[in-house]
Amino acid sequence: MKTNSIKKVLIALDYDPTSQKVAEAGYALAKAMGAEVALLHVMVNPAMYASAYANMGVWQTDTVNTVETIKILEKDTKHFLNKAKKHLGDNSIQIELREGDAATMILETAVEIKADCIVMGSHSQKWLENILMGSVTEEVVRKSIVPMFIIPTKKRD
Amino acid sequence: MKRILIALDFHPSATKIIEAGLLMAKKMEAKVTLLYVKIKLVNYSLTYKKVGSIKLDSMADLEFAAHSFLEKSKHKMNDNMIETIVKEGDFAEFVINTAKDMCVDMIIIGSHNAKWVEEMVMGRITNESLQQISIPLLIIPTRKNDKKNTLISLELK
Repeated sequence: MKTNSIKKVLIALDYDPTSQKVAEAGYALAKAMGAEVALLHVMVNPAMYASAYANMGVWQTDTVNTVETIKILEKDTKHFLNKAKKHLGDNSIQIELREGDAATMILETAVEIKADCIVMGSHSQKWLENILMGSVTEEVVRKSIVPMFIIPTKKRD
Repeated sequence: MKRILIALDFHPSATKIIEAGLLMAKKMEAKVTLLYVKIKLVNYSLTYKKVGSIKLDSMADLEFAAHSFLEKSKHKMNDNMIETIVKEGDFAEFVINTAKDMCVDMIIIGSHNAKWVEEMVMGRITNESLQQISIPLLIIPTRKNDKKNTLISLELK
């Protein structure tokens, strides 16, 4: 049974300040279970970000610009994940970067890297998004076939 | 992790949740409490009225069934250190209150309770005391086709 052994833990992080708490709690759990750790960040629709950024400065949103902005985003995200990795002080931590719908990509990545447990924060501060579209955590809990470790993250954290 | 609360209700997957939870607790060397929350007998009798002939005579029967189910699980897991509690009433309320009273470090529940979890964790529950939970949750996926392990089938043939 899948729940019977946890060998690999997938920790999904967003840009929320509570991510640190989630990463730490997830890492502690993984260590207690003697499991490997993978950190994941999903870039939600980078093209959308990119065009948004392009609009801030230059009026033209040509393709070259967009592609470049996506590259910068990717670089930043990698930097963010590496920083988290460094913070946890473990070189064996795997870094995963995906783009697309957050819940879908978290579930897909879990299958792909054969994670036995998904760690997430209970909610991010994007409260408006949560109200309008339903929270990512909610969706993952509903659809996940592996155990989920939910770290309560409150606004004041 | 020092204390783990495994919260169960009348769901076929109870055994699966116990197994997953105990395995985890063992690795973490944590003390385990099994909490079984019965629904109020009024609810049962209302349901059974529709079904027809299933006879659940008294509170005592249910209480007994719940206790012996927990004892059996304990025995099966070969662990006498496990503490068991049976309570009657609202699942969310008892789980959270027990968790708070016992200062547990983690609550393990099945994903069929996820609706409650969603509401609680995502802050949609209006009850203040339920909102303020800050204990990590481990959610074990429970599917409808899980092996049948109901209290009824085990104890009240």
